[in-house]
Amino acid sequence: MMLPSFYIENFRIFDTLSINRLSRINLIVGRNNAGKSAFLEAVLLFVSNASIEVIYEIIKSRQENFESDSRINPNQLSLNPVRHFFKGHKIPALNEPGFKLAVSRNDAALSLRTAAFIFEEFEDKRIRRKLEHEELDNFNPDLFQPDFFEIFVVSEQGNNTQLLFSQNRDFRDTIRFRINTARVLNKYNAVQFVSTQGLSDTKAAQLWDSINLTDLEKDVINGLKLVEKKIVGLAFVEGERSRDRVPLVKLENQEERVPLKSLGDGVTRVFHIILSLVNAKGGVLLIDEFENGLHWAVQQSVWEITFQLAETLDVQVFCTTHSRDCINGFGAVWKEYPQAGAFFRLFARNEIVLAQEYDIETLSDSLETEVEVR
Amino acid sequence: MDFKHLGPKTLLTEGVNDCHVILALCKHYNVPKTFGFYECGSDQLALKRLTGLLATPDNIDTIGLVIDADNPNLAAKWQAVKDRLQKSGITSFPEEPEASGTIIPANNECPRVGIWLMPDNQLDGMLEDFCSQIAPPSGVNFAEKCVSDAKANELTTFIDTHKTKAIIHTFLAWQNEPGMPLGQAITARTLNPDNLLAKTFADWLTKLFG
Repeated sequence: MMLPSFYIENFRIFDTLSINRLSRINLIVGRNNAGKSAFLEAVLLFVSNASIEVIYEIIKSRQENFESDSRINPNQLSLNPVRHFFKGHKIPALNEPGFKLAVSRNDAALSLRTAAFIFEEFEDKRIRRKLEHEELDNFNPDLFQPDFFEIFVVSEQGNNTQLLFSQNRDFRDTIRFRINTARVLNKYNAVQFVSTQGLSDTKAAQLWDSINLTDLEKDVINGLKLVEKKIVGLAFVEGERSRDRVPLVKLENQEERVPLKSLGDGVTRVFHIILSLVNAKGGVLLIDEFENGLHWAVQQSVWEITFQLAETLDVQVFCTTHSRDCINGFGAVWKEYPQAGAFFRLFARNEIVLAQEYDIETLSDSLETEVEVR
Repeated sequence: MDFKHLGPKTLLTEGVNDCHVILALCKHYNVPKTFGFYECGSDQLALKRLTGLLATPDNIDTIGLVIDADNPNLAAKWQAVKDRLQKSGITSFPEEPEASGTIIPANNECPRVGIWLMPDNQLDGMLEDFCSQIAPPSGVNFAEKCVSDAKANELTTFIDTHKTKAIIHTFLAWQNEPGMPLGQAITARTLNPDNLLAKTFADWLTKLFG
């Protein structure tokens, strides 16, 4: 299930942003701080249905949970790190719209906003009920006992409301509680994210575990061969501490196994990309700074394998890049699969973030005449 | 001199010869130096660069395009230009090229665009036809007779589409100094920069980049 387009409203630096045409493999460029990573985060939140695990991962990666004191006070929500997700860095008030993510402006959106809930007696049970917009006009919190109402940051989609953060609970407590007990119900089968720094060894080991000895393992090894032809096999072994897992590779004509990392950054990067890709079967893969650690000469090959595997495994891929070589490689492979690519640049005009979408000819013409597209 | 200007006001040309000719005219008419030249190497590359620049509207203020009305002819070239403008979001432009040079004003999203089809926005031809038109007619006519003569005597190898090139360079071979490149010939006034066509061109440039 692929996103044909995407719409963002009020999320991070975006007022409203519409990307009208997405494809299977999407490459996003733009200056530093133009919103590339924020765009990936928006897609990630949307396809994971604003799961709390994803929210936490995003907050951690941006270090937005920097406040170390945990304080219980009536305005708890205003300190919640998720406030940085909203344009203006403020948790919206009860009557404010919050942020929206959708396939298009007219489609049903996933929104995050605040909602008030009251407890009502219903057949001998106390049921928590969300107050609708009309009721909020007459809502006076002072008339209620604190036990009878609660304000939450919620995610809404259609008629479904998911409670995320309560005003009465510290952010870290919520995370601890929810991540330990929640089951992740994703809209898509699999969502994978490769950050600029790549995957931790633990994460890589988990992803390897899930495809080890399957046909997908061959795809990963073939990807590694693009950078180091002599790799014939890979395995994770215990590291210095018993919970560490270290990837080793077997090279042709060499008996001694060597750590993957000893072959350089490029191999590790390709490993993380392909491994994540094969684990995103039927779902979505996001890669921040695709080119990291990759020599210009291999970029095109890595794109080639990405386009092919994404097609075979039905994965929609979103990448960002700063690199001209990376864009050139993408452009060359896009020409081989003209229906499978999309490219756009995020830029600011009068402090509004806009997108310039390129079709295959415009990108090709720009690259051929060396017009700067980034 | 390297004609690879990257600033917000740029004039795209097919080749270095065009740049030298235009530069000589600019000097003669004191056209304000508000823009730079980018020689693209060919007509197709100039058109492609036009598309590329129109996709980065925030860095570009004005784009001028000077290309030959050949390969195959003016109508096809003009259509190619219109197709590209349309695709880049510029929807209002004249049906036919304007005799004094076309200028399409900027709007919210698109920079100002100017187009000149050599020689004069009306006839099929190329840069050398422009130069022939501003050369003394008696000299050019005689040169044409010589070129035809040489061809009849099987002394020539130029391809037919380059006949005007053969003629203008034949003419220039007899001037002081023999074999001047086109740009220098304008500076030396061997080709007449005060000719009306040359003035019209300079006026178009001044208006476009003013």
